[in-house]
Amino acid sequence: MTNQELQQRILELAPQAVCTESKQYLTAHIPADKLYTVAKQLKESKDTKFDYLFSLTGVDANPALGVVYHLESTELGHCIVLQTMTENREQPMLDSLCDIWKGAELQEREVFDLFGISFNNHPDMRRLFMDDDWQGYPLRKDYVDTINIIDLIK
Amino acid sequence: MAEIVAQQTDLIDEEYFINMGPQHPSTHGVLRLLINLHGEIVNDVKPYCGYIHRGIEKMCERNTYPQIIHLTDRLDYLSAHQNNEAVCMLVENALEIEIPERVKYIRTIIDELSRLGSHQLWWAAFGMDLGALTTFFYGLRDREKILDIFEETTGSRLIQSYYCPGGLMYDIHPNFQKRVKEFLAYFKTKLPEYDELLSGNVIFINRTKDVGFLSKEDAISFGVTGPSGRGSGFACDIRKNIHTMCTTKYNSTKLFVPNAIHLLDTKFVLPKCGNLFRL
Repeated sequence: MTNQELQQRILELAPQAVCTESKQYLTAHIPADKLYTVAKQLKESKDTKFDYLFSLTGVDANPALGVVYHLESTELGHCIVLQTMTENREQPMLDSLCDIWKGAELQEREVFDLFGISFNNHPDMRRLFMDDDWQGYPLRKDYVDTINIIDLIK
Repeated sequence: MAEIVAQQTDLIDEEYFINMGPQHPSTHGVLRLLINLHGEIVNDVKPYCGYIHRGIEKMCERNTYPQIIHLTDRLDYLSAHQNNEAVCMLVENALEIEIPERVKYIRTIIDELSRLGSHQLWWAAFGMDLGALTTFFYGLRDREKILDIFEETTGSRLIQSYYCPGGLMYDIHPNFQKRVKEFLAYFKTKLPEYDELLSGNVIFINRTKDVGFLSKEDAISFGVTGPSGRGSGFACDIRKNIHTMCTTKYNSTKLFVPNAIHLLDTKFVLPKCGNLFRL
């Protein structure tokens, strides 16, 4: 499917989505409540068949927190980028995509560990790298750690 | 940790937990696995990752683009150039910098040499972990030749930091072309030797064939790419995927992406090396 057709399909599934096109990929900003349905449709629908999630990245775009998903179809060859944001910095919650793509499980744990975004329906929502009792979320832009981080730029 | 895990699951007779901790010959210090064993069958694994997490992303937030090369070098330290290639391509595409043709060729050649070196270490260490110590010597003997070429050109054997956004730090050494051609001719004669050493070995086959089977759908769903993915029948080679917009010269070379049937079979390393590129 071309980017135009993908854009149409996204807008059918989530009318409030905002699609932008860059040199490489079509990026679709999806509202958080529609993310799971859009993702599931993109995977299962015969003409999109996005079976390969090759990147799940947490983003701290002050003031919002969110996740960026890079999807590819191994059979049909097209790619798309989905992006979701949530304004809630105290208790950010997004839907988990573990049951759609198994690789999302560990990557969502990483996002939870480093950004604090909690994923609903995740089978094992706990930190991945840091200790279980670590306070704070290291990759956030407002993370302060005077002991471990040496700030060379004042 | 083991006590907490033990409390949460029902302990059946003959089932026990083993901690395959970071200090273990196979985990190489980077991974901890809590394995639920039933005899010699692994029922469940609880991985504890992060022993090699060095906070590179956080450090990159504070550095300039040329500085992060020295950090991303160390992501996959066995093939340091390829990490830098990715970072340099990223910065160049984002800033829309055009790099010289010569740089593209040099980067492709050096990338592939580092890939060869990395694969050498892979199968060498794999054989060693299974008990075949000879593979380690053979693999590293030839990897040393690649590292010698790198040392002459870049100044360093392992973590070279040779690329920078916009090109290379400095030009290649005058001996580079000759040495690479000599090395490749030598390497091709060694491939049958490696094949003879491991591929048909009955111990190797019994320990790897049908062990830890990963179906193609699972491989795609989990995002298992590269040689492990190809072992499951998922032909994913980022060098061939058009959408990655490679600035390197893979399109002008014949690239054969094999699809091995056995998981982790050394056979897929050999056609890969043999068809890499024509100088």
